[in-house]
Formats: sequence, C-alpha cells, structure tokens
Amino acid sequence: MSAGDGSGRSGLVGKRARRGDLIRKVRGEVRYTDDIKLPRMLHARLVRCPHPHARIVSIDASRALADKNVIAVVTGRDMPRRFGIIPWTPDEYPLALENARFIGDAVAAVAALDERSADLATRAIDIQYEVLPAALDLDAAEQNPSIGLGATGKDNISKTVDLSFGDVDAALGASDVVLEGEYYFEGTAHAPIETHCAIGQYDGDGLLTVWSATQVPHYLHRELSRVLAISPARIRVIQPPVGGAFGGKSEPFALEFAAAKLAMVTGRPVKILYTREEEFYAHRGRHPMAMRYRVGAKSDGSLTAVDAKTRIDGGAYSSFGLVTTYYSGQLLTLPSFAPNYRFSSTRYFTNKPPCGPKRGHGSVQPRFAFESMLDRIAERVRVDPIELRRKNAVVEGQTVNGFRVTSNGYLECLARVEAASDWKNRRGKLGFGRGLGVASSAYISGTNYPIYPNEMPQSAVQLKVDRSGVVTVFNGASEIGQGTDTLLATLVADELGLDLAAVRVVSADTDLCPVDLGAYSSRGTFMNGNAAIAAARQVREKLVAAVAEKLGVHPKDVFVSQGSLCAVGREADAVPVTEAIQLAEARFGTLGATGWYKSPPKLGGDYRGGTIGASPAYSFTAHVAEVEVDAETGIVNVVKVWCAHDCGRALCPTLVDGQIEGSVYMGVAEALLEEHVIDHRGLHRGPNLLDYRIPTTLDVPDIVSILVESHDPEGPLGAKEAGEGPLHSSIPAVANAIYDAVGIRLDRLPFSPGRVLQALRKRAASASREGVAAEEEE
Amino acid sequence: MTASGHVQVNDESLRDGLQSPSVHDPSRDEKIALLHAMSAIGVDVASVGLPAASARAVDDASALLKEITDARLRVRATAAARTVEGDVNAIAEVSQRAGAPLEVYAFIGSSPIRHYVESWDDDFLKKRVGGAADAARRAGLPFCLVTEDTTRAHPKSLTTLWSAAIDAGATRLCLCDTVGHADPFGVEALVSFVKSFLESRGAGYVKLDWHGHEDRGLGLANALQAARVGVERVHGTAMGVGERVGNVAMESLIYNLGALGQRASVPLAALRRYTDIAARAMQWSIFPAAPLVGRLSRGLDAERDAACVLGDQAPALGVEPAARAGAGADDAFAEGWVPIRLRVNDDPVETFTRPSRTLLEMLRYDLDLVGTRQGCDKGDCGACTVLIDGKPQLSCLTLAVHCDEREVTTVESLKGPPDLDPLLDAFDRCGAGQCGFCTPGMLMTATALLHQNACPSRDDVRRALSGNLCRCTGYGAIVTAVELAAKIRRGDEPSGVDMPGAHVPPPLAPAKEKEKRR
Repeated sequence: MSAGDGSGRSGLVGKRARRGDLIRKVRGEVRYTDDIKLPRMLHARLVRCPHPHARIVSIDASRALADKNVIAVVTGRDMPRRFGIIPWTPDEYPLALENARFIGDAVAAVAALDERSADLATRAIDIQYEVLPAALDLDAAEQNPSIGLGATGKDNISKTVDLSFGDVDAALGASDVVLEGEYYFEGTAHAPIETHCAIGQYDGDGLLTVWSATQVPHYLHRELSRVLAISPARIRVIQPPVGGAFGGKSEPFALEFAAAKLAMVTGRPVKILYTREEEFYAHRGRHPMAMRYRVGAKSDGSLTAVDAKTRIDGGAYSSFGLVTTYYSGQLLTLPSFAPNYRFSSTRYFTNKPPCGPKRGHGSVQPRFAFESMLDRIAERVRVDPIELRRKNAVVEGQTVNGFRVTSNGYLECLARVEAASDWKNRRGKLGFGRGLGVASSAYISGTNYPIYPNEMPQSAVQLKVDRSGVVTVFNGASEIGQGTDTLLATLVADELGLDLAAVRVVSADTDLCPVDLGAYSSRGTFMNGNAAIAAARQVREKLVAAVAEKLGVHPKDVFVSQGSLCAVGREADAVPVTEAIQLAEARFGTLGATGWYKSPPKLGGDYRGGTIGASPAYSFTAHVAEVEVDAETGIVNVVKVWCAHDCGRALCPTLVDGQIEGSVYMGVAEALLEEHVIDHRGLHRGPNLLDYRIPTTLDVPDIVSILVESHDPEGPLGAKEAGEGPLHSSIPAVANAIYDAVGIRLDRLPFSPGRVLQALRKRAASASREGVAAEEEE
Repeated sequence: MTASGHVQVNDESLRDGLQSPSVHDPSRDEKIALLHAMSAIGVDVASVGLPAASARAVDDASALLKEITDARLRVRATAAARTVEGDVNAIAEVSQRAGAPLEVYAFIGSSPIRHYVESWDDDFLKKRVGGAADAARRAGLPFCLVTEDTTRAHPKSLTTLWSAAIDAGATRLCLCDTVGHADPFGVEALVSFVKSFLESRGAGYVKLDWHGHEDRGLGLANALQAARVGVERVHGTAMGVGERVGNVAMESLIYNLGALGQRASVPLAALRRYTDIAARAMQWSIFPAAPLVGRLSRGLDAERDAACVLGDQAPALGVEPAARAGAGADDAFAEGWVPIRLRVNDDPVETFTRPSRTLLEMLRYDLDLVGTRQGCDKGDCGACTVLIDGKPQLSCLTLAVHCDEREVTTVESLKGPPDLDPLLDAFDRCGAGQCGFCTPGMLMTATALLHQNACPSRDDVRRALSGNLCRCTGYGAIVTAVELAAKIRRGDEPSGVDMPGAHVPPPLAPAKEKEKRR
C-alpha cells in the first residue's frame, strides 16, 4: 500500500475500458498522412518497371516534362545510395539505379500539380530496358545460380543459416517414432486498409520534414539521412496515426525518399499516395516457405529431436530477410519442444515483390509445419495432442537454443482452451465433417538487441507536467491501431492518479519525442510501458513528497487514488492531484521526467546468431479450433476458435482482446482464403481487395479470447506482448481440426476447397485400394 | 439505301443499363413504373433482364412480363441469356409463369481476343449457339443471336456464328458495338456485309438489331445510321446509363428518329417524364447538360446557364487552387466545369466540379471532409461509404455530379459529446476500431442500418456490414458495438459510460467572486 510500490492504485490498469482515441480519429479530427494538405503541395507518382528483371538502358523524361503541369522528374541517379533496414544487407536504391528486380520496382518519380497529371506523366517517361533472365519461384532461384541475384552475383542466395543443438542424428536413431513431413506456405500480404502515403517538405531554412504512414519513424530518419546525404539534424520525421500496418510499413520505402527528394528539387511539398495495386507490389509480406521436417519421439510421447530444412522465397530484396531466415528456425523452440534440434534455412532472391515481416515474422510458416507434425506424432503414439504438448512443455529456464524464459503461462493456456472447448468430451466425437484441433506457440516481447548495434535505450518517454493538472506524454512509439497511445496514457494516469482526460500523448515525431525504435517485433507494451512507468514514478515521488509535507505525514504513508493523493487513515484530507502538482512545482521547480527502457545486457545463445530471437520475455498461446468440412464442396468453415494467450499482466484488457481477436482473424484468413500469388510472368494474380480475398463480416469464426495473466518480473507491471503471438498457432489448429473432421492432412496453405477436395479424393482412392487389397487377401 | 417504315426501338435500361456500377438496381415496383413509362413514349420492345442471373431476376422478369399482359401495355418483351441452354430455359420458365411470349436475346463473345482467352474454337462456338437456339425452338420462343463486339470481330468468326444460329432457327441477329468502337461509315459497311451474307444464304427473312455504346460519343450517330441503312430495331437505355460512358440515350434516339421521320414524334415533356422516372428508379442524377432532358436544356436557371457557358472561367467556390491549375492536363479530355448544388451534412454546398471528380475526391480534397477514407478507390473495401439521400453508397464509385440536388451525409455528421452519437459511443467503448481507418465507412453503413432496423440481430449486423472490410478487429467487437449502439438508441443502455473526464479539476472560479472575497 505504500507509495511507489508499483501497484497502480488508481485502478485504471487492468480495467476493461474505452479505446479512448477512436472518436477523434474517425471524425477526421486527427489527420492521417493522406489527410494532410500543405500550401503549394505537389502530387507525385512512381514509374514502375514492367519486367521482372531488367537493366535500365536509358530514361528520357522530356515528353513528360513538356506538359506544363509536370514540375519535376527524379530517377535512380538522383539518389545513388543504397539503403536497407538491416545494416548488413543494404541492397535497395529508392529508385532502381542499374537493374530493376521485379515487376513494380520503382525506377523514376514524377511530381505534378495534381495527381492525375502525375499519373499521365508516368506514361510519358520513355524508358529503355534490356530484359534479363528472371527467377520467379524457389526452384528457379535454386537451379539457376547464373541469374546472379545474390550479393556476389554468383548465385541467388540471400542468407543461409545452419544451426544445430544436441546430437540430432543419435536422438532420431534412438527414437521409437520418426515422422517426416513437407509443407508449403505461399505467402500472404498485410493489406492494411490505408495504403502507404508520404509527404516531403523542404523548407526555406533547409529543414526536411517527412510525414509518413510508417511503423519505424526512427529508422526512416536514419535512412533518409544516409540516402539523401543530409545531416540527421536537418531532418524531422512525423508519423501521423497509421491506418493499419501489420509489419507492412516497418522499413523505409521508395515513396518516402522520392517525396523527400522531389520536395528538395522543387522547393514545394510533395505527396505520394500508393494505389491499392502498388500496395500489393510494394509488399514485404509473409515469405513463401517450403519446409521439410523430421520429428522423433519416444513411444510415451516425449519428443527426442527435430530436424528442419527450409527454403525461403525472399523476393527481390533483402528487407528483414537476414532475421527472417534465423526466425524460421530460432523461434520454434518454445513452448513444446525436443532436447535436440537442427535447422537449415536458406533464403533465395527471386524476381518477385520483396517479402518481409508480417505479424508473426518468419515463424508463422514453420509453426504451421511443426504443429501439424506434433498432431501426427500424437496420433501415432496414441497420446492426446494436448497431453503431448504438456509432456514436452519447456516451462522455465532455458530453451534448447539458449533463450531465457522468465514467465510462462503456457500450461494454463492449454488447460483453459481444453476446458473452454470441452475438448475431452468432444474431440474425435463430433462425427464425420466436424472436428476440433489444437496447436500452441510462443513469441517474443521485443528483440533484445536493436537492429543497429548500440548501447542506448530502445524506448524512452518524457513527461511534461503542467500546473493546470495536465500531463503530456512524449514518446517515439508508433500508434498503428494497436493502442500504444492509450496504453501509455493509462499507465501514466494510473501512476499519478490522473483522469485520462488530463493526459495527452504526443507520439512518433522525431523533433518532439525521444526515440522509440518502432512498432515491430511486439516490443511496444514491454519497452514503452517500462519507459513510461519509469518516468511517471519520478513525478509521483515528487507529488508524494509534497503531499506528505503538507499533511505532515511520512511519504510512505501517502498513496495515490483516482483524482487525489491521500494519507493512510486521513482519507478526508485527500489532496486533489492538481493541487499536489502545484505543491510539488512550488517545492521542486518545474516538473518533468524522462524514463527509458534498456534490455538486459546479455541474452541469447553463445553462438553466431544466438542473439536473434532473444527477447526479454516470451508470450505463450494455445488455440483450439472447431471446423466444419463439407466433403461435397471442399469448403471449410471455421465455426469457433478458442485462443488462450499469456500476455503477462493485461494492462488494457480491451486492447489485448482486440489484438487476440485480430490475430486469430488474420490467422484463420491465411488458413482458408489468403494467398499472395505471383504468376510465372512475375505479375500479381489479383492486386486488389476483391481478388486478394480478405474476410468480410460473413467469413469470420466466433472468437473466444481468454486472457492468461502470468506475471513477468521484467515486464511493465508484469505485462508481455499480445500483438503477434496469438496469430501463430491459429493456422495449425485449423489444419489439425480438419484432420479430426474428415481425416485429411493438408500440407499446403491455404486450405481452399480445391485442395480439400483433392485430398479427400486421394484419401478415398487409397482407402478403396486398401479395401480391394484386403478383399484379395481374404 | 433508306429504310422504309417504322424503325423499332428496344429499351435495354433494365438489362444493359443496370450494368452500370453507378446505378441502383430498382425495386420491382420501380421497374414496373419504368415499364409503364417506356410504354408511354412508344417503346416497341423492352428487355426484362437476364433471368438466369438469380432467383430474383426470374421473379422480376416474370412480374414485368405479367404486367405487360395485365396492363395491356403496347411494349413487347425480350430477355437476355448467355448462349447456354440453362439460361434459355430460365427465359422459358419466365414465359410460362407469366403466360406470355418473350423473345430470347442470347449473346456470345465474338472478338478474337475473347476467343483466344477462353480457348474457344469454331466447333465449340457452333455447338453453343446451336444448343441455345435449339432450346429456344423447343420452348417456342423466337431467337436472336447477339454477337458481342461485332464491330471488332473477324468476318469469318461472324459468319460461322451467324450460320450456326440461322441453321438452328434464329430469326434475328443483333449487331453490337460493345465498346463504342465504330463510326457511322463502319456501321454502314457492317450492315451491308451482313445483308449480303444473309442473301447469299437465302436468309433474307432474318431481321437485324443494332446495339451500340457511346465511348467515342458516336453512339447516337451510329444508331441513326444503322436505322438509315436498314436495321429494323435499334437499342438504347434511359439517359444512356450503362457500362463505362454508357449506351445510346433512348430519349435522344426517339426524339431524333422522330425528327428524321422514321418514327412517330413524341412530345419532349413525355421524354422528360420518362427520364425522371428512370432516374428515380436507378438513383441516377440526370446530368445538367444532358441533351433534351438535363436541367440546362429545360431552361430552369438562367444564371446557371450563363455559368455553364463560361466553362473553364467559372470555377470560384470551394475548389482547390491545385485542381484549377491542373486544368491543363484535363484539356485533353475536354472536360468542363459543372455547377452542382447539394447538401453535405445539412450544410448547403454550391460549387463547380469536373465531371470526372468522384464524390470521394470532392469530399476529401475540395471540402476537406477527410473523415471519409480512401482504401482502394475501386469499390472493394467500403472505407469511403457515405449516405446519399440516406442510403449507404461508395463515394469512390460515385461521381460528384451525380450528387447534384442530393443530400450527402458523412461521418463528420456523427456528434461528439455532449450529445455523443450512440455508434461513436459504442465503437469507442467496445474497442470496435483499432487503426480507425475503415471505421468511418462502418459507421455510415451502421447508421443506415439502425435507421432501418432499430433492433438488429447479430446476423442482421453482419449482413449489413459485409461490404465494409476491416483488417484489425476480426469484426466481433464491431458487431457487438452496433448491437450496443442500438440499445443506447432505444434507451436500453446508458450513453457515455466511463467517458474520461469525471476526475478532472473543476473550472477555475469566476474572477469577480475572487475579488469579492478580497
């Protein structure tokens, strides 16, 4: 009960509360990037390469520039400096310099008085290409090294990772059961409803300001400096609210550089808004992966070893690919795993839109494969699949690849979905066509190490305390819909006894806010939350001291409640927060504080790559899915999904539910509908929201979100992530439920009616063959 | 070569007209009203739709056909089919139900690109045409073969198709300029080609139709030319509604055929009544400068006449400078500025806009109402949904000029505190929006739903919102929020629960009081 004990006294934390920011957002009172209109603003469009792989022979913009509405054209030569989100693999130019590597690769940008003129002008820029041989799928990339898309030009390899823990061959040899499986995931797109948009402004003082719908304003700030050769001190990046991102806006894109450069060339603000089609070609979505697994077990169901080989289709550029390649193996070792593990993953370049991180980066695809394998093992050794997972749970201590586990609500997750779905009474007993399936997963709460090596904080918050009773939270976090603004306001208000109406949040503006690295790898709650609490507690200490002095009590007897500070036993003399602020300001001078989060100094395995996948805390998830399969049409209907997620302490349960429901929705969509297909010509099969099928209200299951609140010792008030973890195992849960329903194992996503029917026919054919064979034997 | 006698007109409003993505599919009563209006201006033949499209299409076509008999309308009915037996059978069913005859207009793609894409060869085409014509013959219905894209087809393909049709008993061929590709000289050449073909086959009894589009602005001229060189029946739609720039306007067709002495003249007032009824049924705005029937032709507003004549000089109100400066690029399209007058969220708006400007662009860029969002700009996502005369519509697929004299309602009309709109209240309370980008469209669709249905079930909500995509929430919270909003509206739930602000400091004391205390 004493002050500063961290047990938020004013009762906002953990309460199912309003979203808080929605009303202003939807009434157009908060401006998203495309809502911003600046005086004299020009509109620009990008010219994109129509060939999957081509050398740019010449670019002639004279026809375009002859139009009086067209103001400027820039090409790769105007920005001949490479960039890349991962410092070790900078392989992109804002506009292709010599070679364009996929249909849709940007090669020039044109600014005009209005968008339509800019669009027309893109067609009046004459570009001569020399078409080069292209690799349009994994096999082609593997078999034709002479295409030379890799860094050395001698192969098409982007990254190879081979890691081994324990003696896999011996363990497999000593297993009672060894099963093999091959799986394929074609890849999916983020498809946020807001397309990318950026505005560049270069003012009379030579200050470059870029507004962008990005998840990573800090990295954009750095890359703008690198590419445009301007001091970072002369650049300001502002990220307005973002209309959905899901990983698709977590690195710099051509439009940000092009808008900035055109603004510098013309001296006028320049806006670029991607069309829906461009959004699909800019991509950075989930990688296609071809995965081969061998999993061994003893006859009692204990896993002995896992051996995985994964080929990854990276598309045209590196993006986060180095990390993706590690994640395809590193993030599998929780929550149920074997003591021996080996994986070999190779990411290939292909002449397709580049792949990158999508919600559950790099590990959603292998999770589908591995959890499907576990279901097969369980069946073979005749152990209930939930029991099998319990038996192999890695509950505490270290994973086989050296990651530290500080809190773990996994077993409770399993128990909760088991009970909620009435698993024991219903699984395997629902009759042909209906079934239940289980799967589980774990995910990071932020990466322990920043993308570029440094010793500085990963997240910081500054508080400005006004004597009117208003506290402003300045922080670099990117509000992309997940609710970091609401979360930070809640944490600060809770510490200080403030009404949420008296807390303002200013976020993601590099001039106003201290650095946060961005909204990726599920780091927001953990890192920004810790930073906010650290800052708020300093202010709280001063308020408590001032109130203690006024009441003549010891500071440790002062506590914070909603709206006021009181002394134990003297509740009648409560001091309103505003008065406490004024007392403290009088005593200590102007109030303010900074707080930050730095991850523990050493985490992860002691081997090359051992830090990738290391996180200060891991979340845990279990899914049970119930499906109906129509054996006549092959249509799978996911009726209901129970998702239990260990998010540590649920600070804002409304937001956590939203993340769980949104993750499950997205996972089920990837299981049944979504497929990002680039055809043999390098063209997207349907770059629009009609052909790329994202679910409508009529296509979603009932989702039951179950919060499991373990208490993480290092999380803010015990909290961990919730934004990505709850996606992973939804896909294999559906796959395993389909098996329970109709007895087919699907090894390729999505589970479209055609694939389901094909598998059903194959099963019927083999059953009848077996029947004939049995008869003949008789 | 001059046609003798009466040239017939075929009104395709209820078939080809409804293929325009910008028109509303009328209710059955509205369709019947339009049928009467067609009859009143002497339309000879009218299409009652494509019955095979849906159960509703069968019902509507049957009702229309029955109305013709019951009300003794002079108009005769046709119905469209693909050259597929099932489609022809659907027409037969309509004919049986209504107990009245129907002419089958069965269409097939005839352009080389279509044949290439579909991998259709001659045998396949013959079989399809023959099969469909046989089905019509068995049902005792006259059969017309409609060769889509006739003007871009290879003559050999055409003769193959026509032969197959005639052999199977077709009595009519419809020549189509599906994408408005031809000019009057081409029309004459095509008609003389088909006529000589028919004569060579001894099939001079086969009658001809002309169906053209306005892409090059030659639709009317082509139709008149077709009539002049001996086509018996020419097609049009009310106000020319249809795909892309549309079909030949029926009112212009009838007026001009009258003026040329090829049909009886019809009074202008009757033609205007016909277009008014059609515009209401299809929720279409008659373009102010439309010939004969537009507001400017009707001479209602002299001031506006003057403004329109000024063309590019006129823009004044609420149009962004960049758009004006950008006029040069638009010169290529010879676009003018059109005056429009509408109400947006109860405010009168009087401005000039370009015919190509979408309502979404006008709202966001000209009126700075940025709450309405662009997600796809092609009618797939629903983020741009607004209410037009109370009905949810996609503003990205609606031209600003179509909103002339209408009431547009956007998300900005939903009130914040203290009279917090129940939907805003419930969405915020339930976490029914995350990034908030699709939410305005959701809210407008839900607003219309709650006006219509004060107590919707979860399924009602799901159905109503199925055209609005959300990528964050998984929809569950949205459906719950709409249910909650309905309860708040009905008074079954309190409004503004847990809104922040209960514990903020009170207002500072008035200055006077302070002085008194001293």
